[in-house]
Amino acid sequence: MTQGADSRAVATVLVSHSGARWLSAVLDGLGAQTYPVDRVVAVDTGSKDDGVEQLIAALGDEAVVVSGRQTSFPAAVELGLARLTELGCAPTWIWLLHDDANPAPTALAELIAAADEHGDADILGPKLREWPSLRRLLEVGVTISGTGRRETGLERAEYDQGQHDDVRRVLAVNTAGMLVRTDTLRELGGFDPALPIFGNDIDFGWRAAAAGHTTLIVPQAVVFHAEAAHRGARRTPLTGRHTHYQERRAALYTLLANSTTIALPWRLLRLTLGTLVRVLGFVAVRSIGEALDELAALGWIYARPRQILAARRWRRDRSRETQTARQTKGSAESDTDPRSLLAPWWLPYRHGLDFVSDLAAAATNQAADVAERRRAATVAQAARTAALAPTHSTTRAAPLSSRQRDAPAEDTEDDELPEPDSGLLTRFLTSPVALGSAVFLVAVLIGTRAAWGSVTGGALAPAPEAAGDWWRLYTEHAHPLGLGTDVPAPAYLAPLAALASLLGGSPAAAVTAVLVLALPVAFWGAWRLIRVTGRLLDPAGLPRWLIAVCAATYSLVSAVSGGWSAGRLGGVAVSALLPWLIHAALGFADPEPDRRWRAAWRTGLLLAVTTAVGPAVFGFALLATVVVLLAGAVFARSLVTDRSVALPPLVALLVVPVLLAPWWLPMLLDGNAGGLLLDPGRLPPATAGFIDLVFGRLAGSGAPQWLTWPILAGALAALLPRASRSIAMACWTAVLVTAAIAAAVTAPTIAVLGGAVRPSPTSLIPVMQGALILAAVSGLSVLLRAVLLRSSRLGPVLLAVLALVAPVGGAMWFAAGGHDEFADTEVSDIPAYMKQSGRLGPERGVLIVRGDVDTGLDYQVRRGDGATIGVDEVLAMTSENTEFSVALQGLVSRPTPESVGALSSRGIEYVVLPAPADGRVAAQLDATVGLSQASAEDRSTRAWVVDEPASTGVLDGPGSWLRMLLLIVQGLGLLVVLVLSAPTWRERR
Amino acid sequence: MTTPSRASRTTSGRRVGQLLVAAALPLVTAAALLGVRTGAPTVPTDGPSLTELTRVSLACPAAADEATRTVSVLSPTGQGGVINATVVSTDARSDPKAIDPRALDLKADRLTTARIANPVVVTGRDEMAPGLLAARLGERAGVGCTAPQPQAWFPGVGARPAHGSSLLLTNPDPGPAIADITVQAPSGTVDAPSLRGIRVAGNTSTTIDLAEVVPRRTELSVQVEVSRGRLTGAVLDRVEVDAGKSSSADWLAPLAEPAESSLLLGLPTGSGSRRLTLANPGTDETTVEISIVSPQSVFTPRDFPEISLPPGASRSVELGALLAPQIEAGATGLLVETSHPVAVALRSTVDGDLTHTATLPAITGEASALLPRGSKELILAGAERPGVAVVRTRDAAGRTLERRRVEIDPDSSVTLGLPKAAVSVALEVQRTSVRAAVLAESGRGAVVLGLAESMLQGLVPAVRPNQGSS
Repeated sequence: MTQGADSRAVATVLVSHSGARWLSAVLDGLGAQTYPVDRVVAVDTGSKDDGVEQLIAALGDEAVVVSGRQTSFPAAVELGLARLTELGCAPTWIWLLHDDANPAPTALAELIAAADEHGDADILGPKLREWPSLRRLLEVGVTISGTGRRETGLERAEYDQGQHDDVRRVLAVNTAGMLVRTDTLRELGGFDPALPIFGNDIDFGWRAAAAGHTTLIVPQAVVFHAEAAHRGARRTPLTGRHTHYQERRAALYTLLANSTTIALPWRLLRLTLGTLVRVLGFVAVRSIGEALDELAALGWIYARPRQILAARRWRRDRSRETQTARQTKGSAESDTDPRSLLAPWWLPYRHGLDFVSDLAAAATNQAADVAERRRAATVAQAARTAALAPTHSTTRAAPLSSRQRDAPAEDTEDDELPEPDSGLLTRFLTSPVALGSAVFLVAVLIGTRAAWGSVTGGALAPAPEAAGDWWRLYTEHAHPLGLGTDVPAPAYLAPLAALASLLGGSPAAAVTAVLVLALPVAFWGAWRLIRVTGRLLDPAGLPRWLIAVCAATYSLVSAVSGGWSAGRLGGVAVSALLPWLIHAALGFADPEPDRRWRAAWRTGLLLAVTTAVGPAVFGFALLATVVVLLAGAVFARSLVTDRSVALPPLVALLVVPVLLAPWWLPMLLDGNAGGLLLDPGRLPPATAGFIDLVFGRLAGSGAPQWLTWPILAGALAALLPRASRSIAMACWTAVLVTAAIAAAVTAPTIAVLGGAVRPSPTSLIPVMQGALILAAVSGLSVLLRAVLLRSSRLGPVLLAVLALVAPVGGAMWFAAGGHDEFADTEVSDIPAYMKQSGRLGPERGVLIVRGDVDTGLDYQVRRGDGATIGVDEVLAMTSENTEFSVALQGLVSRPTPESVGALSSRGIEYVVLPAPADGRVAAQLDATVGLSQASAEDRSTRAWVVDEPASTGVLDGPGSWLRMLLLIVQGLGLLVVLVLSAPTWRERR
Repeated sequence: MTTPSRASRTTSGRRVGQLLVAAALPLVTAAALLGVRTGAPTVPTDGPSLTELTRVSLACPAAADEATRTVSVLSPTGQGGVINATVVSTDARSDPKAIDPRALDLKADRLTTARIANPVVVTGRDEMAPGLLAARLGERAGVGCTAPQPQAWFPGVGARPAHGSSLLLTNPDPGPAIADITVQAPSGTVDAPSLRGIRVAGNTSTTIDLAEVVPRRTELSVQVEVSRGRLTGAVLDRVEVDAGKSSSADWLAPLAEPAESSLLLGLPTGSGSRRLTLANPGTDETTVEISIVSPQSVFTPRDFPEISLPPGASRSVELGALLAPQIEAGATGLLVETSHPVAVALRSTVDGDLTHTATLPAITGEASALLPRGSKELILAGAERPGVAVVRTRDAAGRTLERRRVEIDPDSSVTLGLPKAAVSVALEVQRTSVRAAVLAESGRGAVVLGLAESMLQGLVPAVRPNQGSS
C-alpha cells in the first residue's frame, strides 16, 4: 500500500504577511497536528514585523520563501509550490494555511479521513471558527449569490453547537485550511492572479466545480481564523484602505468571469442595478465609504471588459483542456452542475427584506425611551462614582439592567412584547385597552367618512387631476395662474405631492389619506409620547388605559376644534405630526451625544414638515427653544455650555429654513413675508378668539365646549400636587409660549390679492391642547395613585369617568358626523364648457367678474382646473396687475379695442358675469366690439367669448436659476437630513 | 440646630415660590391669550368713480294721443348742438329701411320739439349728453323718456278689456337684445312661456299686448329683465271710463328695483278709483304698511287695511274711498313700507282720467324734468335728514322764471306751485336726499311725472382683483 501511503502525503503551504502576532500560535497548531505533515513551506510576502524570523526559526531557512509586498495570494501559492518542487517534494495533497488561521490539532487528520472516505473529493475545507472567540462560526463552506454576496448560510454570530456538522458538497471552501489535490491545483491553473486577496477561493471552487471536481466541507476539521484582511486588521498594498472595494470587485469579477454566456447580459444588468440599490442603502445608513466602494468596484469592472473577456476565455480553454484530459483518461464526467451549488435566487431579496425591516425597526424604536436611557445613564454614572456603596446602587439598578439585558438594545417596546403563552387574538380580545382603542379608532374612521373619495369644501380647494400638477406648481418659477405670477408655491405642496405620487399619482387620494389617517396617526404618536413622558412622571410608567385615554383625547383635537370639518389641512396635519415631533425632540435630553445629534436632524426634518403645514409652529419651536436654553442657562449652566447639548436644538431650528428655502427665500425677497404666516387653504383664514383658544376651537365651529372642561380642570389641578407640579409647570409654560405666539401671529394683517387678512392661530391649537392634555395626565396619574392608596372604590371610577368625557364624547360627536363642509365636487357658477376649454391650455382663461357698479367689481381669472389646492396660496400673495385692472375698468365703462386686446394678450378666452350680473356692466360688454355673447346654463349668468383667441405661451414667464438652485439645495438638504436622522447601522458578522 | 431650621425655611420658601409661579402661569397665559386678535378681513367696497358722460340714449314710447305726438327735448347744461332722434321701427322683424334718423338742432337751454308719433330714440353725444331730457307731454297723459335699464318693474298693469296694458320694448343699439318678462298675478307668477327670451332687433321696438298673451281678470304686475343687450321698457295703460263709453290712457313709468320703503308722490284730486298694486318678487311673504304723506306729517290712518303679500304674488287694493278725504285734507302722497322689497304703483282713475303715480327714486344731487303746460306743482318729500332744495324753473326760451330755496324735513312734504309758463324744472338738493314729483292738473286730466337724478356724468365702477372660489 505504498501507493496508498503516497496518496496521503501532505505538504503545507503557509502564506504569511505581517502576521507575527498570530504566527507563533499558528506554527504551534501546525506542529501539534495529529496527522504528520510531510513538508511545510512558508511564503512571506514582505512582512514588516518579525514574521520571517519566526518562520525561519520554526521551519528552517530553505522552507521559507520571502517575496515582495506586492505578491498576491495566488502568486504566493505558486511560489510555495515551486519551492516544494525545488525541495523534491511531490505530495498528493497541498494544505493551504494563512498566518492568521490556526488549525485545531485534529484538523488535518479529519480532512485526510474525509478524503479517504470520499474518494472523489478533490478539495476539502475545514469549519472556520472565529479567532480569538473560538466559539462563533465563520464559515462552513461558501457560495456566492446572484448579487455577488459571499454566502456562508450562517446566521450572524452563530455559535458552533455542532449544528452544521455534516460533510457535504459545497461550491467553495476558504483557502485558510483548504486541502487540495496537487494535481487538481495544477490542472485548474492555481488561483486566479486577478483576485489577489479576496474572493479567489470562491472563484477557484467555481472553476473546480465547473471542471467536475468535488469540493467538500469537513466540519469535523476546525480551523480558527482571525480574518485579519477582511476585518481590516491587516492592511497590505493589495487590500489598500478599501477592503470593501476589493471584496466587491472580486465578487463582481468572479460572477462575470464564471457565469455562462447566456446569463451574462442579465448578470451585468442585475449587478448594475443591484449596485445602485446597495449604494442607496449604504447612503441611507451613512456608510458613505462603502457606497463609494460599491460604485468604484462597478466602475472597475466596466473599465476592463477585456480583462473579463480574457478571464472567461482562459476558463473556457482550461475547461476544454480538462475535458480532453478526462476523455483521454476515460474518467467519468461529473454530473453536478456548479449552478446547483450557487446560492438560491431568492436569497438577495430576503437579505434586502431583512435589511429594510431591521432599519424600520431601528428607526421606530430609535428614541424608544429617553426616560429610561436617562435613568440608566444616571444609574450607571452613580454606579461608577459611588462604587463605595455597591449594594445600594445595584438594588436601584437591578430592574433596569435586567430589563435592558432581556430586551434587544434597540427594542424596548416592552409594553407590546407578546406574553409567551397567549396568541395575539386572545390577548387582543381579553385586553379592555386594546378593545377600547380599536372601538375608538373605528368610531374615528366612521367620523371621517365624508372625506373618503374626492373631497372639497370649506377651506379645502379641490385636488388637481394628477400629482404631476402639484410637482409642476412646486418646481416652476413662473406660474400660468391668474394673470401670471412668480410667487413660490407653498412648501406643504412638496410632501403632499410626494404622498400623492406614492398613492399612484392621485392628489385626491393624498388629501383623503391626510384627512382619514391624521387622527389615527395622531393617536399612535400621542400614545408613544405619553408613554415616554409618563415614565418621566413615574418610573413604572402610566397605566395603559390612561395612556390610551389621553392619546384618544389628543387625537381628536383637530376634529373637535372644527378644523377637520372646515377642511383645514394645515391644522389637521399639525395635530398628526406634533406628537412625533415632540417625541423626536425628547431625544435632546438623551444621555448619548450621538443620539442627541440624531434627534437634532429628526426634529429638524419633522419641524420643517410641520412648519410647512402650520407656519406658526415654527414660532413656537423658536420661542420654546429660547425658553428652554434660558432655563438651562439659569439652572444648569454646565449643560448649556456643552456643545453637544446646546447645539442640536439650534441645528434642528436651522434645518427648517434650509429645507423650506424654496418657499421662504423668494417670499422674503419679494416682500411677501406675511404670506409665510398664512396656513394652507383658501382665504379667509380661520379665526379663534380668547374663549375659542382656551377650549381649542375655531370661532363658531367644533364640538360643544363642555367636552373640554375636564382637560382644563385637570391641567389646572395638576399644578397643585408636588408630584405632578414640575411637569404641569413645564406644560403650562408650553401653553404660555403658544399663547404668546398666537398673539404675535395674529397681530399683523397681511395684504393679499383684493384685500387683507389676519393670520390664523389654527395650527397652534394642537400644541396648546396637547400641552394641556399632558398637564392633565400628570395631574390625573398623581390623583389616581393617591386615590388607590386610600383604597377608595368610588375614587378611581370617578376619575376614569372624568377622563373619559373628552375622548368618548368627542368620538361620539365626531362619528355622528354632519359638521363638515365637504362635497364631492365643487359647485361652480362657470359654464361647464368653459371649464373643459380651460383644461386645453393655460391661455384659455375665464375672466370672472362679480359685483356691481355701485359697490365695485371683483375679478378673478380661472385657468386649467381652477383654483386647486396650492393655487389659492400662490394667487393670494400675487400683487395686483394694475395695468390689467385699468384695462378692465375701461372695458366695463367705456370699451375700446385696446381694452379688448388686453384680454387676449393676457390669455383670456371668456368673460363671465355670474348671477346676479349687473345689467349695466352686461350692457356695456354686449355693446363691445370684439366680444361675442356666449351661452350659460343659468340665464342670469352672462358670458362672452373674446373674438380674438389668445396665442399659446402668452403666460410663459422666464425660468429662474435661483428657483432651481433652491430646489437643489432643498433636495440635497433633505437627503443629508434623512441620512443623518436614520439610525446608525453597522453590519455585524 | 440653626442649620436645619434655616434649611427647612429655605425649602418651604422655595415651595411657596414654586406654588406662586404655578398659580401665575395660567393667569399669564390667559393674559397672553387676550392679546390674540380676531379682526375680520377687510373687504373693500369702493363706489364708482365719475367720468365724462359721452353718450346718452333716451327712448320715448309711441304717442298715446294727439297731444303726445310731440316729443320735447331739452339740453339743460347751457350747451347747444345737434342730437340724433332715431325713429325706430315698430316692426320687431327689423326692416332697416323703417329706421328714420333725424337730426335735431338744439339751442342752449331752449326747448325743442318734434312731431314724431312712432317710438323714437333721442341720442345725445359728448357735450350734448349730460342731463339730456326728452318727454311726451299732454294734458291727460305724459311720460319722460328714459335710458335703457337692465331691469324694470311695472306694478298694476291689466290684461282685460276694461283695463289693458301694452308693454313697449325699445332697443336703442344696433345689436339685438333679449328680455325675459315675468308676469305676477294674485295667485303668483303666471306661466307665460311666450314671454321668455323676447328678442328685439337692433333699433327696433316691439309691443306686447298683455291681454293677448296673458288674458286675466285681475290686476297684474310685470317685470322686464334684459338678459342680452340694452332695452328700454314702457307700459301704456288704458282703462274704460264712463261705463265703457270711452277710455283714458297714460304711461306707467318703469321702476328700477323693488324697495322696502316706497314713496309715491302726486295724488290727483277728484273722485274715483285709486288702486294700489304691490308685487312681491321675493321668496318670503311680506307685510305691508301704508301711510299718508302730508305737508305736516307722515301717518297711518286707523281704517287703512293691513295687507300681506305672498311670495311671487301681485295684489292690488282699492283705496279710493279711504284716500278721498285725506287728499281733500291735503295729502300729497303715500308711503308704503314692507318687510321685504316690493314694487308699488298707484293707479288713479279720477274724473274720467287715468293717472299713474309711481315709486320715486332718491335724489341726492341734481334732478330736472320737462313740464306739461298748465298749472303744476312740485312735491318734495322723503328727506333723509333736514336739508335744502333749490328749485329753478325756466320757460321755453330758456329764461329762468323762478329760483326758490326751500327747507325740507323728514316726515313731511313740501308742495311748491310752479309758474304756468315753466317748461322745465331743475332741482338741486343739498345735505340730504329727497324724492320729488310734479303733479300737473288741468281741467281735462292730470299728469304725474317723477324726477330722477340727472345723468350728468358716467359711472366707472371700481375694479379690483379678488381671489375667491370659482
